[in-house]
Amino acid sequence: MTPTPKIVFQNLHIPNIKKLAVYREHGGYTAAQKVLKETKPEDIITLVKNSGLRGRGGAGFGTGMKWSFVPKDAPLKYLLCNADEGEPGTFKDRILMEQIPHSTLEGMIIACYAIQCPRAYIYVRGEYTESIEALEAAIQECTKNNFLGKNIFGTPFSLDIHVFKGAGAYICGEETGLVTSMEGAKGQPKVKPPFPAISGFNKKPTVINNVETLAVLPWIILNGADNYKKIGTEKSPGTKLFCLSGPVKNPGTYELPLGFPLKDLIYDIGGGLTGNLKLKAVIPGGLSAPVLTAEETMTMTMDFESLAKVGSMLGSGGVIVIANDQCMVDLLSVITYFYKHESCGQCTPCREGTGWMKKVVDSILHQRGRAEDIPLLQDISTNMMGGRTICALSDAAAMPVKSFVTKFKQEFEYHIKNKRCHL
Amino acid sequence: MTSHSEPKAKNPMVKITADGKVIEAPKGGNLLKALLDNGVSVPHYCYHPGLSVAGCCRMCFVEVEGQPRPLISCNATVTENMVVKTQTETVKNIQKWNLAFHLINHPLDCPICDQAGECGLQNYYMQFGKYESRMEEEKVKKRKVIPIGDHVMLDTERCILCSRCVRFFDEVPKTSEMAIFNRGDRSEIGTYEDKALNNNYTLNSVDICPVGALTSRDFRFKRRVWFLKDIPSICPGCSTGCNVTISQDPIEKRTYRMRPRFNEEVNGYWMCDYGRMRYKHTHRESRISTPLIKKAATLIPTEWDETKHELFTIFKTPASQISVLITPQYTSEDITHIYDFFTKTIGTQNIFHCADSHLASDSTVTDELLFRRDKNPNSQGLLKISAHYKLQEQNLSLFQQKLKSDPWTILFIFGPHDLEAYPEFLSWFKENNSLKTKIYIGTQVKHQIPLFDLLLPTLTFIETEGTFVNFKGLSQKLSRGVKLIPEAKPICEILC
Repeated sequence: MTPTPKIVFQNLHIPNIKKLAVYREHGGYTAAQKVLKETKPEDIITLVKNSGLRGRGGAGFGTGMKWSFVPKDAPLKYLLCNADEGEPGTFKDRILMEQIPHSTLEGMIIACYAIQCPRAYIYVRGEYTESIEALEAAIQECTKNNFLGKNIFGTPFSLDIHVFKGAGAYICGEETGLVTSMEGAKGQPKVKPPFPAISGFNKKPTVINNVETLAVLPWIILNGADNYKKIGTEKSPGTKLFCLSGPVKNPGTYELPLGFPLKDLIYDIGGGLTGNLKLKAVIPGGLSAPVLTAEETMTMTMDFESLAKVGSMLGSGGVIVIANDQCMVDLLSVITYFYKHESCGQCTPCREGTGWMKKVVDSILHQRGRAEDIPLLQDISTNMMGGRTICALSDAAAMPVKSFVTKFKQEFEYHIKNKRCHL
Repeated sequence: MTSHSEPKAKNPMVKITADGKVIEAPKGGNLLKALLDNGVSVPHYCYHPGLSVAGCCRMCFVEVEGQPRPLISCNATVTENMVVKTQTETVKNIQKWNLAFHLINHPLDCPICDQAGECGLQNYYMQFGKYESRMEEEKVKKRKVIPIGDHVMLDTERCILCSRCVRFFDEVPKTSEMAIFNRGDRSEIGTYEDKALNNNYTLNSVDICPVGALTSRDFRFKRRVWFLKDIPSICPGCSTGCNVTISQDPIEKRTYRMRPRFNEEVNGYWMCDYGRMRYKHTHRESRISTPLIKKAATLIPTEWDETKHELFTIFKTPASQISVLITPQYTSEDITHIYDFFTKTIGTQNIFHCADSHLASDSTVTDELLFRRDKNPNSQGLLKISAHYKLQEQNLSLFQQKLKSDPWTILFIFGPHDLEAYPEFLSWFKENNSLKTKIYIGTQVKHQIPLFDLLLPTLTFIETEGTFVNFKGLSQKLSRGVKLIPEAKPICEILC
């Protein structure tokens, strides 16, 4: 196995790296200073575009492209850092925020300078108390040392960063749900257009970037777009944090180049499954990513395009390993409960569909299933997907259902026919 | 009134193609509105032209050439030469499924629901649905029969969460009493704990509710809507002159409700609750149902023939002793007839009006939306006509002075149909004066006290064709509905 380059985790092992002084000793804030003192904002946008960096929150949208949509002449704009890490199976942003909070802040300074935005917020999910403490301490240190505030590093650029605590709703991780939540309303996605880049927080142009996306920026500034592109695949450059969970020997968050073989993540880095368990399936990109069978897992590489090719997705990089002792009907019942609980209820297909799917799956699980429930689940999920709703939660809720009843149909059929679990 | 979602009509008209038909629509305007305005049938629940776009019901999907996937037309804008398809298999499938999603937890209690017959769920099921339901699971149970204000009853189980009512109270009266609480399929519409729904515009939420979630406590369980006939008219409640639709049962001869009719210049899509209740004084039980004559200090029912005889005697009195008082609650046509009759046929100039020239043109509203201080529908009309006869100076205060000083023996009073506008009305005639005979022409039963000598029943605004002139001087037509009191006669038949 080739040694894996570290970008966002490069300083993770250093003691006290969350302190500004230690972070600076290891090259921290040189990228931000370089940018503010030597580079034009539009050149940073071009650089990030050239690096091919794609958003690390789940959708994988080009970061430079996202920035370029912001109208240059707008008097006030916002950068919001999406730290509402809520996709089940994902626990990467919290490590960045808790351990190396300054890398996110440095990334935010660079991003804010690029889009010329004077005020930024970090929307942290409320349960992440340690992340909130670490970020607030880091912001305080920066403000004291003029790394934030008026005329940063003695340049004309000023920036304030504030931490905003979420209240734990999954939907607030969706860009516009996050915006409505910050505006003081119930977290509910907004109908698009207008997109946040034109009319976002407080109806001002707003960029919303994931923590990991922002934390990558200092490295790209210092090492250049070409060096970044050398890592990963052509269409998915760079590294990615993968959160490995499930019955594996070494669960955890790993930084790996995109295009990394999923098999190696599970068996080499993860040390394989615990006990005598055998791999049954993998959810590769957070709970909403369509499930892969064991067979698909063996040949899969972890990048945006390979996963899209088999109808799944890289998502947030939450790799959930499922072993042969797990009933897929039981698991789907838990998954459908999550989406039914977290649907904001705004759009009819999602509001009603999530509840309906949960009830049908539970009917099957509790030996009340009918043969027609399998095609019914396929039809409900199909009709909740593909832009039928304001945001992607409906798709996220439907994809597991569709993939489970398609790829593990025999387990559902067994439940219906024999009125019991095959295990 | 401004509608929130639509830019003013200044946008240039462009051609678009909808289902093969070329239509014209304002560039940059709302695509769904353009389609609906041109008779293209697109199902929708959350969209309302007077409110902001929510885009949540997901019923109005269309396909637009060049777009990778179907989009909701309520959040799309009209662009030149766009090609829209509303009838593709994809669109039909979406409509069917999204309707199914709306209905899986709906109680389907149409037999006891007031909305039945004008329900968006029923109508779209027949037009776009007609599928076999595949929902076999237990439905979500929610709260029912919740009075959320003096006028509105809420059933959260019937609600499809289109959020029209929430947006209405946020955006139009800006009172924000309502919201959607909880999430997912537990979402429920409701009012905030500390807020009762008692602004003057609550019943608009019932009008715009596409299902039976919000019903009018006044109309609830009164009449099935398919028995009702709609008549376009004008609200008589104040000088605004909101355009309304009156619903009457023509067989039973009863009025059941009054709802706003769109007029961008006057009331937009809305009207106030006060105005809506103005139909109540047309009911049989509150009306003078037959001519009445005073005999031995009591009023007794009489025949029109006998009253004719009485009037004939009265009109023999010297014209200078005959006086007339008119309230501005009659149509301009009736008022003209009264002036014409008394100046020309009788030959008296003692015609006085109760229109307050100051109030009549006062454009300020008392509640920031539509309700004006002048509770008369036709003050401007009355003033104009009195001016035509050069009698505009003869107003109420002059009448009250002259009633004491002038040797009148006869007074004709054209009384108000709406007594709420005239709380002091009766006291005007109680004072000592030289009057021998007081003839009251009107509709309201409260006047059946032996203060008058002759009471002649006439018609209310619902039973009359004619014109009201609002505070801006805008003349608006009333259509004639069903006559509710067989014995009542129009002014032109009483004075002839």
